[in-house]
Amino acid sequence: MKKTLLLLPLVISFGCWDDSRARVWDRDRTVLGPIPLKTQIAYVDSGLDRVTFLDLANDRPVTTRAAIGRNAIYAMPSPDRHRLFVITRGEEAIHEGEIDQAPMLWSVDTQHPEATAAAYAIGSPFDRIAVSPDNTIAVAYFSAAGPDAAGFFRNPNELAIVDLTKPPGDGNPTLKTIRSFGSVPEGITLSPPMIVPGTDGARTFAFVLSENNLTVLDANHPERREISVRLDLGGEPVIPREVVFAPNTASAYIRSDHARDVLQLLLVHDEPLATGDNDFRPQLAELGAGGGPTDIAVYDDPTGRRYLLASTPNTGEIVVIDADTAQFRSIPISDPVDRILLFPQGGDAVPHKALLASIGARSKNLHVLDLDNISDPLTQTRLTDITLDQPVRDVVPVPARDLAMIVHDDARTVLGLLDMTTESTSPLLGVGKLDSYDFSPDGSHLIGATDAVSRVGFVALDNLHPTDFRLDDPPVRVLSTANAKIFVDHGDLRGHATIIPSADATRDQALVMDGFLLTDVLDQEP
Amino acid sequence: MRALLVLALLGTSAYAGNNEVSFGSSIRALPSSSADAITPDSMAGPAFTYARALDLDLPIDGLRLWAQASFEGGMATGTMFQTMQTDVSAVMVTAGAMLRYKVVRNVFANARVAFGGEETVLRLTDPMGNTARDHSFVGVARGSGEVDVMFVDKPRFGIGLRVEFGYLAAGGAGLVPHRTQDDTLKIPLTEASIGHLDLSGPYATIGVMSQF
Repeated sequence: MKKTLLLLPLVISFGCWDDSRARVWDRDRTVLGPIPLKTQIAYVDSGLDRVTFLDLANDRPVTTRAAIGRNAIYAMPSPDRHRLFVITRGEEAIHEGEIDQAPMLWSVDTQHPEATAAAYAIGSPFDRIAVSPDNTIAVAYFSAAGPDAAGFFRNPNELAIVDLTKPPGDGNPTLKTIRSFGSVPEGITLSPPMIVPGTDGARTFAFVLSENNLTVLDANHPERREISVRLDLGGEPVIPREVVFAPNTASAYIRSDHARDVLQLLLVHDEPLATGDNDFRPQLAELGAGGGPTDIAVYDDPTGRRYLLASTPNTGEIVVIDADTAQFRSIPISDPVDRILLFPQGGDAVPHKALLASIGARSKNLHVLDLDNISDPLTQTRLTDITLDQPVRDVVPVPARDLAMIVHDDARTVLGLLDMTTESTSPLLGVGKLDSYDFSPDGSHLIGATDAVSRVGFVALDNLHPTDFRLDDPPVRVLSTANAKIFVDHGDLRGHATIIPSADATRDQALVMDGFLLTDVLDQEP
Repeated sequence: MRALLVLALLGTSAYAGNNEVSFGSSIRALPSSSADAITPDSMAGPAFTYARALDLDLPIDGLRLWAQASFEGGMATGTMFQTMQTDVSAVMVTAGAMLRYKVVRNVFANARVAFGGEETVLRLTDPMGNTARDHSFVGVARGSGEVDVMFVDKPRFGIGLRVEFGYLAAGGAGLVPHRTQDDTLKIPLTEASIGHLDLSGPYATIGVMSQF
């Protein structure tokens, strides 16, 4: 009897059975995405350490996955959207089941996601990436806020320069701390390949933007010293905001807040004094904008000559600057213009018109500047004023079309469409706040969604005919892929999305995918 | 187990009826990696068993063979990734046989084996309140040892405490969680499998049994 009673504590202790649950299931999980690629949509899962791709190239979506490191914190696609770059925070093994893993930059080939992603040990948990337009170089850096509170010291001026054409290894990436005058990087822009006359071939340059300071770094020779350019004049801090490049002349144009002018930075050959010195130096020039530019745009005319458009509200002008000669022409304008859009957009098309808007001033006026022959001082400038009923809060170019969407309120409930050819506007009214929108790749449709309404709205931009598509669940984000399929994410952590094959598709042609972020998660060993 | 065998050798035979019912609480540990993903807890629930003594001559004096059928339920909750609430429940029906032997006065030792099926239900709820659910039926096999301590052990009636330890092997339940939906017409749906949930594990049951 006593022996039997001894069994009772065992029964009670059974309730406290500890089979030491794997820590992976108790980790914080953040899903980054959806991230639009060419024909794929990517989701980066920080809990399962993987990227899930939904390929919408065919009628039936294909799901693939790529393994990455622990604790993804930032992801961005390459400029051509064929690669996905992910920064993982890594992990420190403190508890059973955790591993020691350093911060990594992962380069995932979205065309072959089953291939092992290249992992570059970047040394610090950077939370921003800049990628060169030709996908050859990436620079990881800290945002002003930094990723998290982990760690002991953090060097905000540290960079990791990654040569994406070479495998990870010694010397790739290169860790570098740039010279600082008390400020930290607020952004990095990588140039397209530029040939500095007298040097050996095309190179990529990193332009590090920080308060009162611009740093230029030869990203192909990161071991060489960087070049710092002080921007401040002793008054208000000068904050560089925008860099546009003229690769044919190895120059860059920098627009800064509180700056007196647009800064042209021309890279010229300079004989190195010692091995390892730079073989170039910047040659600076203030272009003749004057008055503190609020926006700039660069274009090449049909002869290939490069021009810079700058808006200078302080002087009430738009300035057209010949980038090669610095000759300029000023066009008076009454509104404080702070947004310049060129039409037609993209590709190799030569712009013929510029749309000028005053977003900060909430002006009701738009202006269209004819760019043809504008550099000829004997030609009269053609500036058309368009006065709308309501203030303009934003203007967005429609891809591949001479159209601009005009947003009239913060909630994006009242929209307009400006035809740059006829310079006429048409109002569009939504049923609610336009929380997410996109344009079809050929610019044929505006696609919009609001999270309170289980519908996707379409506007045919040829005739402004509105249609809508009833969804089964409220949308969170709407995207259009390169093959014109519409992807609607519903914001479910298990993965829930509606795929609409085209703007005129019916409901039975659409497809809802559910649970794709947790596919077979129970079958994998932690 | 060795102790039980020794006790068995010391026993004498006695009968308290040919029918038996038992009712109790069962707890099952879930050590598989798939169950680990769903919940860190064990699964607990009620257990009910009916048994009928078979009138067979067995080679050991005092040993009786019983046919058994049991019904058992269990449930557990958990959280995945600190945000997704999980609820797993199972209803099991098994049939099998039990060998029962009187060890000492008022104490019996049983050995039991059973086979059957289990309906596994999984529900996932995300922080937005979206719920997805699925169920699957899998085969199970279980084997256990029991100890009965009889409070009353008369020839036609007996009542006592039963403690059972065993192991249950269950097939992996393939689950494809479905979102809760209303009756409106739906867009064609493709749902991904979350994988196979294996609820195998050691278990214990404690309860009251009666023979009549």
